[in-house]
Amino acid sequence: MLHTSESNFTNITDMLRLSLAHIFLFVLLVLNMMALPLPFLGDVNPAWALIAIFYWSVYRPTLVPPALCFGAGLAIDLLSGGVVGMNAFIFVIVQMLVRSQRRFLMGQPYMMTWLVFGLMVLSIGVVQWGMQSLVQAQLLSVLPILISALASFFIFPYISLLLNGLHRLLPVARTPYS
Amino acid sequence: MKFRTRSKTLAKLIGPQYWGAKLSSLFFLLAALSLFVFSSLSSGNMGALRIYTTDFFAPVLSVFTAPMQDAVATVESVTGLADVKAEIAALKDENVKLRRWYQQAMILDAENKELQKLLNFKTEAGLHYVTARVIADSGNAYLKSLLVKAGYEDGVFKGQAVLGGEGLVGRVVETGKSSARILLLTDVNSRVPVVVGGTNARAILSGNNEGAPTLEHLPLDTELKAGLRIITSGHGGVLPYGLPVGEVIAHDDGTFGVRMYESADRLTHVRVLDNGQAEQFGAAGAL
Repeated sequence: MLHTSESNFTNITDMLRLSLAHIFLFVLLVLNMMALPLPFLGDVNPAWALIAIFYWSVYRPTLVPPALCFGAGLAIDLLSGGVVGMNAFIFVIVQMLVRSQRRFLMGQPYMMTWLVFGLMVLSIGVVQWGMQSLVQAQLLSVLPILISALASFFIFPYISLLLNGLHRLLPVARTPYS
Repeated sequence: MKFRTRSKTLAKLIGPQYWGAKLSSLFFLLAALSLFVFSSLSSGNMGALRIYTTDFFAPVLSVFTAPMQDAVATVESVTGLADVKAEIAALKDENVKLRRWYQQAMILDAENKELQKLLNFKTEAGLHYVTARVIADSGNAYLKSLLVKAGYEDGVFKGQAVLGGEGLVGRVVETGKSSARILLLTDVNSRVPVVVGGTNARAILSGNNEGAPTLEHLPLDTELKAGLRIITSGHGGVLPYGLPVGEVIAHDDGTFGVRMYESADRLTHVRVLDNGQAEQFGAAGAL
């Protein structure tokens, strides 16, 4: 009896600890909705939430299942007032690709992971530019996505540091990830 | 041996562990693409869902925005300390000029009223404003819009003009119960009929996702020069006549743009102009 109540208690605390990752993802989603005013560059929109999706897809993929990535992307799409489905598509594809390469990424030094993130965010920017140009039926300037990708690249170490700290607070996984 | 390896690979491929995550990802990828296609066919396709979502998130966003805006203001006030002396001198100078203009305006206002009375001129109804707090940007480099925490319950309706302290910043494009979306003049989809002051030439102010929108459909014989005032023309009946927009600037390549009086970058509050449309549209003014 005592054992059962203890394991129940552990289950609840584990769930609460796991939800910290989702609360932080929510905070990043809200930050995604706010432009960052930078000197000389004007308002910049770094991909805050994408950093968390990338990080967890590498180090703890069960925290960001495709449904959650879809939901998070959809929330950004609906709140941004733009075309719906673009961020949902981007979040799910990032999760899918990073998850398939996580074994390789986990064995790499931090600089390599950072570089891979940089390349990924740049490619995502190009996809975003293509999708927006398609919707607007005109070739839009690539400068906003370059600035945004660069900003995302430079904030990655700070956010990944926070995510790393958060990762230590999470309970140890009971089953291996796929 | 070869067969065993192959069968292992096959077992891995058809195993639920491999396909579980992949199938789910593929399903959501397809769902996202379908939504993208459906949404891009017409901007109004997902309008209702967008409004429900913004209404739902508005309280959360406003909680997060306030400290962010305070932080930005603090950073700006600290970094701007060096310029304070010069700024005070410039403001004093401007104040002297403004006082002179104020006296002039009072005289002209009185004269204008007298003349209107003489001509039995029908004046437009008085304008009312709803002040609303900005709670989010678009979060997208290719969209220039703002979310404000005021909706049709507060008298904010689709089509209304939105002003900052200095001039027009955009118009309301979606209204929910307690939140509304404003399309900024700088957005690539924004088109506003304007008049070039001094020439009375009509034009369309067209956003280009950059700081300075362009003037389109100007009469061929219009001679533009830097410094000319741009105001709304009131054509189309959406925006009233005479709202200050900006002034003409000359680019290095010989083309002209419009420098907005009000940059939407640092806006924390906006004024939504109620020009009587709310009564005209009623609740149907909302999406």
